[in-house]
Amino acid sequence: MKKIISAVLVVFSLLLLVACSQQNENTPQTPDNSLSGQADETVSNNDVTVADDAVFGRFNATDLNGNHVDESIFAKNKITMVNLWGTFCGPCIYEMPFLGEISKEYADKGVGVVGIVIDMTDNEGNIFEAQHNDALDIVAQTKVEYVNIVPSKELMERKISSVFSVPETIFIDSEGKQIGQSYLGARSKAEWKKIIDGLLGEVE
Amino acid sequence: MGKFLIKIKKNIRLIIQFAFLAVTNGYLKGFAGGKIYTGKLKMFCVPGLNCYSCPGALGSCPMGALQSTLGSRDYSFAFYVLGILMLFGAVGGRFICGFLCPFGLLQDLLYKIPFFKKFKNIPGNRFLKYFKYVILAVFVILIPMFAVDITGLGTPAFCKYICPSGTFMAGIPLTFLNETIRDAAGFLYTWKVAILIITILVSVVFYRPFCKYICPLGAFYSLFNSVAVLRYEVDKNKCTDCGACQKKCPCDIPVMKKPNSTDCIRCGKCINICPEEAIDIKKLRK
Repeated sequence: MKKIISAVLVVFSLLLLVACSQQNENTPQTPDNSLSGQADETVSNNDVTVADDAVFGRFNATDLNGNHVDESIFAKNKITMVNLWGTFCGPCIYEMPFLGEISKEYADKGVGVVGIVIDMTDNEGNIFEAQHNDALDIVAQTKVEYVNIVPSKELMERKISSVFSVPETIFIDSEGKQIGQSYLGARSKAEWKKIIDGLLGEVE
Repeated sequence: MGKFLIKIKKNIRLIIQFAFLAVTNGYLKGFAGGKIYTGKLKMFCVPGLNCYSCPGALGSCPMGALQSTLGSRDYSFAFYVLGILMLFGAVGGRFICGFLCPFGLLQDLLYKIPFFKKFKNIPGNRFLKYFKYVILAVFVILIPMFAVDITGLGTPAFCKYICPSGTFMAGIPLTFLNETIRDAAGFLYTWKVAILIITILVSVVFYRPFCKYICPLGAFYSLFNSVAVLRYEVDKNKCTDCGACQKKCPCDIPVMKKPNSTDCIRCGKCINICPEEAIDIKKLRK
């Protein structure tokens, strides 16, 4: 009797293994915007100065709503707070409402906030629709209004594909260079304000 | 040469434990760079409590995978993890605990450290051993499924608040090797390290306390012990009821009556000590 139970259990668990749900067959979608992800067709904004050791360099990508984004997004701020986050990441979502508020409160001080969703694309920049929809839902639910970038192939190669821990926040100057250290882990609004105020003091 | 082979046979379980640990955590680049392997092999779960975030880990932790999929907004993936867990359980039951779990290995080694008095079980063992099933139900299943944030995402509560195996294999190495992670360590890190230290200290005096009272993975596998392909049997014709097996058993199990107790992690000491050779692994055909 016990032998039969063992055999049944082994077969049953093998069946469970094979019965993967169809909902998880993510067929990546190539983004419609032909400006993104094609390195040899890069359209550069030549008015924007980009430092040689800029973190993201020159790039063409889209945001979550399909609008074009490039390196000029950093040029208009003294400091840009770049928040790398994932749709699977609880702590990332936890602090996003704070970042949304900071983005509004510091807009007139030359500080901007930009998000980059790190689990939405494969390494070629092709979008996973399930994560795309999750990201849109999350942004709506956390009431975030700042730009969230969908990484293009260049952004994946340059930085995003090597991110293994989120949330990671880095501060970028108007030429794309990193200011100060990287910050891992979620923080309270007060802690972030302290960090940003400190950086503003240095940059001035 | 004969003496050497005898030594190997005597320590075969320890050798297998170390070998399996080395193979499944062989990503040396992780230790060198203070980071984690995120490649395709991570799709697969290792059978023991081996943290995904260990710098050397090539596979995922089955408990971590289960909490992560139960906590996700879309539950359908949980079938895959549950299937793997049931396969592991159906084949090995708590042989996995005894042979393939790195945190079990750590406790085995700690118990070897000399101490003026050694105990098998802690007082209250009869009730406390059910606590691990509570941890499985609450921290691995219920909290990730139901304690969700505004976007419907649950927390991997066992990993986050309890697992000392994760602290030992991942939390401490990453904090030591990676400055940015070190910077992020706060109260939660202190809490997890405290749990690890207490587990380590208790393990010197009592045998495998984490496995007996806390481990949700052990709790899960224990349910398969009496029906797994790999299990013990007692030859009633040979057994004289002398009790040597229970005396030798570090979990104080009456093996002659319960060779497949849910408490048994398959260390094999009973098999070695039985004067009539009445206990053995059940043969697949008579």
